[in-house]
Amino acid sequence: MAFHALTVTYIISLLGLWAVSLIGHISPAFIMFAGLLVIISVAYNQKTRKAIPAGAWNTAAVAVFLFFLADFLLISGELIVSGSRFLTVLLALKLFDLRTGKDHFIVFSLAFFQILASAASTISPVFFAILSLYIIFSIWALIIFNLRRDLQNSGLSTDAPHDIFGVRFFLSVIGLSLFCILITAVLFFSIPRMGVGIFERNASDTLNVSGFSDRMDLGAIGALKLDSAVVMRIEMPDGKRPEAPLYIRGATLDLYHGTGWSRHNAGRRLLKKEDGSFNIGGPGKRSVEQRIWLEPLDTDVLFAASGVYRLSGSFPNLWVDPAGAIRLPAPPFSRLEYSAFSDLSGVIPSGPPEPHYLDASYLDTARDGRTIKRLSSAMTQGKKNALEKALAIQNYLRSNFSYNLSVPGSDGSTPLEDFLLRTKEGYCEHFATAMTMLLRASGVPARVVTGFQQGEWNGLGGYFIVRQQDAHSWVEAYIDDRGWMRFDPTPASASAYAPSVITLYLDFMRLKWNRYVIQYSFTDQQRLVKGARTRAAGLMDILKEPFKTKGYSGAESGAAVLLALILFIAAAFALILRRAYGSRARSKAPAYYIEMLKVLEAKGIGKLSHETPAEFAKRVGDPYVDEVTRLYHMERFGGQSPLEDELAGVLKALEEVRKRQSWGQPAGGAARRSSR
Amino acid sequence: MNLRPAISAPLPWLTFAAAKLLGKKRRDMLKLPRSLTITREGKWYIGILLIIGVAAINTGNNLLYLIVATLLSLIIVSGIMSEAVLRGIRIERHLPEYAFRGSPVTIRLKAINTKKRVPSFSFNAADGGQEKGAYFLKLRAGERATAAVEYAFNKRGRAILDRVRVSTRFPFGLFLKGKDEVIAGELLVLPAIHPEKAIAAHDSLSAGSARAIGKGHGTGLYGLRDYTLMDDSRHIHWRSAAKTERLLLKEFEADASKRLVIVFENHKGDDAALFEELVERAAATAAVHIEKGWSVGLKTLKRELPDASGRAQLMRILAELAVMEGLPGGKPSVSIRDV
Repeated sequence: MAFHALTVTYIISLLGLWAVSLIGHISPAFIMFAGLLVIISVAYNQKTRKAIPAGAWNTAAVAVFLFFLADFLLISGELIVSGSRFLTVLLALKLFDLRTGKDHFIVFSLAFFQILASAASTISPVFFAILSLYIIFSIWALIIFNLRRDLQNSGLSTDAPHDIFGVRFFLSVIGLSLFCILITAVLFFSIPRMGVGIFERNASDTLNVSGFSDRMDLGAIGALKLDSAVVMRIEMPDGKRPEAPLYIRGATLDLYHGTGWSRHNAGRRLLKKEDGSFNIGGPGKRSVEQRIWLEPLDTDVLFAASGVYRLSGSFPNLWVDPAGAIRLPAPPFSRLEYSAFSDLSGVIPSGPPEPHYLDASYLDTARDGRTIKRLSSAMTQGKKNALEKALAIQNYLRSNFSYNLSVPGSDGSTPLEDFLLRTKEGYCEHFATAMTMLLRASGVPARVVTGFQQGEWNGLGGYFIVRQQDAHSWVEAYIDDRGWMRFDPTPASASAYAPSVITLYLDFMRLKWNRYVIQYSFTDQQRLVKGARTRAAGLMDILKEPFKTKGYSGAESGAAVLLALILFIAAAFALILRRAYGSRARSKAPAYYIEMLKVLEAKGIGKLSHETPAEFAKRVGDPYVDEVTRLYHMERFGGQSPLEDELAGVLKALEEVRKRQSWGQPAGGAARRSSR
Repeated sequence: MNLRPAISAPLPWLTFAAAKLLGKKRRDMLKLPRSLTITREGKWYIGILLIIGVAAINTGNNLLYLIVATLLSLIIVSGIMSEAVLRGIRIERHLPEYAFRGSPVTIRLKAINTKKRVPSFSFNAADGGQEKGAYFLKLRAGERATAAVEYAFNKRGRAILDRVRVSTRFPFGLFLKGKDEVIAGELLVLPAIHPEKAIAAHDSLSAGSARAIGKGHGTGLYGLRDYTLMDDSRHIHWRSAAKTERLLLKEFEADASKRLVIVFENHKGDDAALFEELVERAAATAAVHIEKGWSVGLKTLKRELPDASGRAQLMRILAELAVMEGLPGGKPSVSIRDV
């Protein structure tokens, strides 16, 4: 087919299918099923194509609609998910019925709605690739189907000449699509974000991060350590990697109950927003600013580098508990962007701790916990103060215990006993729990902190990529006269994750996509306008400079620049008008016509003042005069510039008029001189 | 190709209001250089765009904003491309001298792409009021093409064709953009000829007044003249040709017994349709009788054409009938009478 209609229809169908695959709750099996239908339809359209009765299609459409209703009401319960499945099945069926241009057009529309459904439920940057390809192929499709319809309406054959849709046509479509994408980008950033959001969408694909709630069972973080999903990205505004490692602090847990931890409910404090920021404490010695993009998590905890003292973001209010964990009023279920300032010294100043930080119950199977207390005493023997004791326990655990994510099964004793006395293997939770309880057993107040390690550094954008597998827990011990100090008894893991350069590039793109597309907001637009205004002011200063050097005042210089700008805009506007209304604005007769009038007048045939050019030509009655007059009419009143060969013809006619000695029907008597 | 717009965009309302205020003469000055109408598909497109726009505002979903921006950008690209098609297209129109009312007449429209690089795709050229136009699929830069198109005129008289509308739905079929090419042209629309409407005349109509009235289609020899290629070879006077070695043509006297005058009392009357019916009856009468060799004249309230035979006389009568207007007074009527 000269129009390649089938090719473009299948490409657009596959793009629709790809878009649906981005929707979270649609399984790959369904996509594969739909893909299989598409492949079968290709074979059907190529070989065994038969006209299927309209009744059969209507029945199939009703069946698919009933399937959609059942899916929505009984299976998925989500309109977008069931709607997308409905559209996909409908599209696959329609591919078996591609008879007219209208059928193809229905496929394009269904694919468009699939992309629309995908837009409503995904945040993947792949969406942009799909949309860009859809732009290219839909432009192609719309052009060829529009041409085909125009041909049909004109009564001509619908087989377009082969030279219309060649390589040049395809390249033109690509160029046009790129131009379209460019305009899309400009419009996207310019359309005002109203910020109404009455039906603002919650992210349906929130990450499940156990361990950051009020309760944590031992082993909860272990599952996270195998998940590489990105939890947050932390950008350092100066683009430099901090020298000290970042401990991204989340929740604190202080009550141990034998198999896990919970939080002592001692009330929480509402933070007040002052100058757009929430102040938690005073700035420390080693302050560092972080800009954090937190993925949708099912926790109300806000994460930031340990020692946070100020936080700013678009939160209505925040809470802070006595242990310094910052919490939102409710889990956000959407992406968050905020800035935090932290003191990286590793010490959180605080008054004397509450007694429950010394609670050492459930140490082991013996009710008085004598075994572990004995172990603690052995570790801290000879240590005089809390700091020395903490360092001794930390070093002992790091040196004598090993890191292992596959913890062997218990023999019936408590997890802590298992770890300290039997297996001597475990991961961060075990080490942190063990150190906290050993410290408490030796009389040092301590607590467990859950959060994340800093993750991978991406030098391309100057930020850390923090994944689920970077989940971590460590210890904070109260050291007299200092406050809560951070200790990390977990030895280094053998298998450190090293991302490839491609991964870093892709993640950088994802960061920018999230930052400038997914989370682009009215605030960003204000920032853009402000930046543009600043640049305009700078430009104005540069323009005013020459006037200032000549001794004009600031206001005079400003007025002069303004006047120049107005003149420039007026000139540009006039130029545009001249181009648009050029034919009407031109009032002078073309030179060749004036020349002909002169020649005729010299020969005694002057144009009368009341005569129109047509009347004059009729009176002269010469074919060459007629020809010049015809072109004159065309140019003067038709707004058409003469072509080169026409101009050559007129000049030749003018020459003939010059040569002519006698005239067929000269004007009745002598012609008067006339003014045109 | 029928490119009838679905609805008109409200773009020129301000211009129209200004033109109303300034008067008719300045209307052309204020007229926008392009017209824009939205097709049915365009209406759907804009409707979907608005719905997605509302959804984007209500959900704050930036990907929906992205789709809105994409749809808007396609409109902009469509505007640029349709402008590229129309810009630099020049139309020339070649009209016949006359047409018969209601009958198709072939007009030749020549399209010239005066642009230096950009081709023009899929555009239509048609005079205002004409359903059919000439369709051009592709015109390369500097290329020209001619298309024949059939126009029909439903009103007798002088048909003034002052501009050709060049329009295109290219590239996406969402909008119909047009521009007017000012090309003055005129043709005479003659009354339609339906032979069955003719008033029958009898040979006896002119009985008793037989006399030679000049050349015609009678039987008596009127004279000889040189033969031209336009003449009927059956009337060559072979005997004279043999003598003079020149081809001479026999000319006949008009048949003095077949003369009539169509009397048209062209009062306007109350019924315009009746007036037009009478015009067509007069035209049919003239055509039928001249075809049969009669010598026919026309007398109206203002003018009188002496009777004569031949095609030239028929055209004179038809031209007169074409431009004839009703005059105040009684009822119009058509009759024939003896010369």
